[in-house]
Amino acid sequence: MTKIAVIYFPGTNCEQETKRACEAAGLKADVIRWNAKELESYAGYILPGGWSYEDRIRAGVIASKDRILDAIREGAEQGKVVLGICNGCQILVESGIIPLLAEQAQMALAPNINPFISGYYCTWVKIKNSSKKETAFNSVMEDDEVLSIPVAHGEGRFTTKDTALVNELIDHDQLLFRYCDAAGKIIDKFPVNPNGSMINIAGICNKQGNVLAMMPHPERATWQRQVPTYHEEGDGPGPGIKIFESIKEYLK
Amino acid sequence: MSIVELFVGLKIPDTTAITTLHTIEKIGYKVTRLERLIYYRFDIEGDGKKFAEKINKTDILVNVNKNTASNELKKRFAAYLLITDSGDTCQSLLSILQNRLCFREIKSMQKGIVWALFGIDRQQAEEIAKKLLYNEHYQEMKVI
Repeated sequence: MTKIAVIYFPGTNCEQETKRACEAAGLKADVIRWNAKELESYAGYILPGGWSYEDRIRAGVIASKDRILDAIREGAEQGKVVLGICNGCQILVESGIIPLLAEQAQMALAPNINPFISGYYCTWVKIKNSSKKETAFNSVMEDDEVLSIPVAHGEGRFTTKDTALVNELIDHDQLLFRYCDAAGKIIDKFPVNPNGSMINIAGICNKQGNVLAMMPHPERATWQRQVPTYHEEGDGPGPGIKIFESIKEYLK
Repeated sequence: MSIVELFVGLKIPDTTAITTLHTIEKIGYKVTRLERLIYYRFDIEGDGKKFAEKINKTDILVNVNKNTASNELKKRFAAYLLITDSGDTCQSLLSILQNRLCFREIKSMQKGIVWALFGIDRQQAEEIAKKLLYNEHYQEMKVI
């Protein structure tokens, strides 16, 4: 069976639940350290959430300069699956791997803009599978499917000063997940957009669809019992597992 | 209206600066020493000197057990960079200062980080800033 490497940096804290989410979807996963040398044998890499290097300077930037990112970049170019969740998303954006596999950051995850709370904000939101293209992360989802998923961050506002880049991302259908309301309507207003993210971006993939950086935590919605509507829905697979099941499909 | 600046440093080891120094080395630059200060700029109405005396003792900004506070940057032979978040008006902190701590004379404020990079020239300092110390998509950098 193909294996996924869940890579943790000093300060990462979601590696075990991410591994469990992989396993629940039928993937085999190892938790490995940021200074591991052997990465070749893995079919994909997941950078989980947390506070790598204590968010020193700004979230994700120190980890983005670690040598392991060179191997991740190489893997991304070869078509391996790369998923960055929350702090992992910040690392992929700071490294320039998302959105364009560039050498420098093309975007930023800036501090949240929230009318009530300054800094860290944690809640359940809805995101929509808003890309029409099939990627490594949405193949088991319906078009426009709405997922209930938690967010927990202080710096999660996707932004860029490069307006041409935004148009490019739209043209190439790279805005895989966008914040929406329960009906799937994209409303660029709090609380639907929990952090003021540009055009409600929750997750961006690369052009080829094998790399995804997303701020919400799918691993925290792997089972229905983790979801606030548990008592109405009953137990079973949660909405977040679809991302891991899609990875499994892609790796077949 | 007058402007009061406040530079807050650390008396204790600055772990952020240490990690940053290691990372600067990792990306290929040789900086001999790195220092970091938190920068506040206050636009106030009234006597700047009196305000400075009060604000320097405000414990939510300056913890005397671990911080140093100065109203001017005492420059040495280093490249000094100021990084600020674009459009950040520090609303939350400003509200605490104005309403809870009764600094009603503050009309607006700005917060940033001052980095002092020793042993390199200005051009290299700007390169390091671009690669590591700020993200141009939401922050601004100024050589001071």
